[in-house]
Amino acid sequence: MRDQAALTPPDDTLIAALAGRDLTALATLYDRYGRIAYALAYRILGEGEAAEDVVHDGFISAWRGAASYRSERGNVRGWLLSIVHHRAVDVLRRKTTFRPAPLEVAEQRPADDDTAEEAARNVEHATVRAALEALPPAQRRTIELAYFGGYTHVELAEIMGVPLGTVKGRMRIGLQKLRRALDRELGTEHNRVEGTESLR
Amino acid sequence: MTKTPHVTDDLELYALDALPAAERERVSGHLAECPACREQSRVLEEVAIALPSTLPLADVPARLRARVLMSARTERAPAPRRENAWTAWLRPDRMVLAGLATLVLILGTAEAYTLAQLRNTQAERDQYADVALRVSHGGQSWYMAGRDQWAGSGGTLISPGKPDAAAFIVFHDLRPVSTGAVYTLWLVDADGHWVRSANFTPNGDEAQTIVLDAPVTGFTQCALTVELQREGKRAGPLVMQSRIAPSN
Repeated sequence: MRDQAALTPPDDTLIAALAGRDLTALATLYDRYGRIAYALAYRILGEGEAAEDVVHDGFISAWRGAASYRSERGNVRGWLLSIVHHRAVDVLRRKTTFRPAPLEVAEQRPADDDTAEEAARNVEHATVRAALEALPPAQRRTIELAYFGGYTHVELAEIMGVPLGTVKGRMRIGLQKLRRALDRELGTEHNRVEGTESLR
Repeated sequence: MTKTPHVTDDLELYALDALPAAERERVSGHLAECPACREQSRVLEEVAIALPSTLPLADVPARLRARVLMSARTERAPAPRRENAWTAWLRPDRMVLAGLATLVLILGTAEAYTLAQLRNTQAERDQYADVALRVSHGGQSWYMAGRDQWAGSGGTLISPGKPDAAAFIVFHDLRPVSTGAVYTLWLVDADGHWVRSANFTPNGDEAQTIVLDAPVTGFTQCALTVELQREGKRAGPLVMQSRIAPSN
């Protein structure tokens, strides 16, 4: 969501260098996104060593697949975090002992490093969090349990005691509201998704 | 016109990773051929990927950065080859080959055939290294970090994507072992059975490569112990062990 063009060197330049097997580019990308990737993996898995494994595999996967990155499909941050998220969920679903609760852990304060990048991140943190909290509880909980809890829609329907269609509807409406809020607050431009239904 | 039905109703689930693996594959397959669904998916994924911004940033263990870079560096290097009759005679390194060529010239017995043979050898080595580098892509890797008194050492097992390519491990900073002892590499399956894969002693270099004789298919972890016996069950202390490997 952040202005990627403000980063030096730009992410796209780093990805191109990664495809050329440039270790310095990989180190820079890791320094830029390693912490949020680890935070995401840790939030999903609840365990440091497993989170390390997932972040490691995610960056190595990016290292191997840099040539397949397409900027028109999304930015580098999103691409990397998607890889990490998918792997973390995959690992989580293979073990059944830990399923994180919704987002109480995020009540902790964000990092307070005194850098422009951290300042931008803190604004983003507050904006996304406010947008999430503005959702009706059922929509917010559905999105959190799916994204951070690794639950499938079938599992969510069972846990929440609602039909599958309701789970899908809550996700759809919730994501649309988030998109509008982020467009408004962060000035991003998203295309509108048609065919919505009203579900509360 | 797409070959598969549109997946509009599943795009929210896809963006949040809330689909089981098989259904996710189905949606991915359609997105690969449908620009309209792909664009809708991109928009939803962009929203979903903002969610990590709500997380507090924890301190990341410093070893993770070194581990990522070590694995990448290992993959960038040519993979070691499986020894066989053809590759065994390619074993001498460049310096040895250069030395042999010089010796042949000095002794005045150089024959065109011999020099051509040496050049061919070098070309084949380069070609093999290039092939080895390429076949290592798409495989999987497991990392082991040294424990206790072995902290600081580590090893990355690379299993190349090509089925007939040998798996190998690059260890770094291995400590010496006492006289008579060896490092033993184990492969561990999902049921917890430990299978001895290789015995070796450290060569004193910063990095040491061990090529496995058997594939790692069917195993989910690897581990390194110090053993006094070269056969039999594990008895020695655990030096390092990988985590259970996730699926690719």
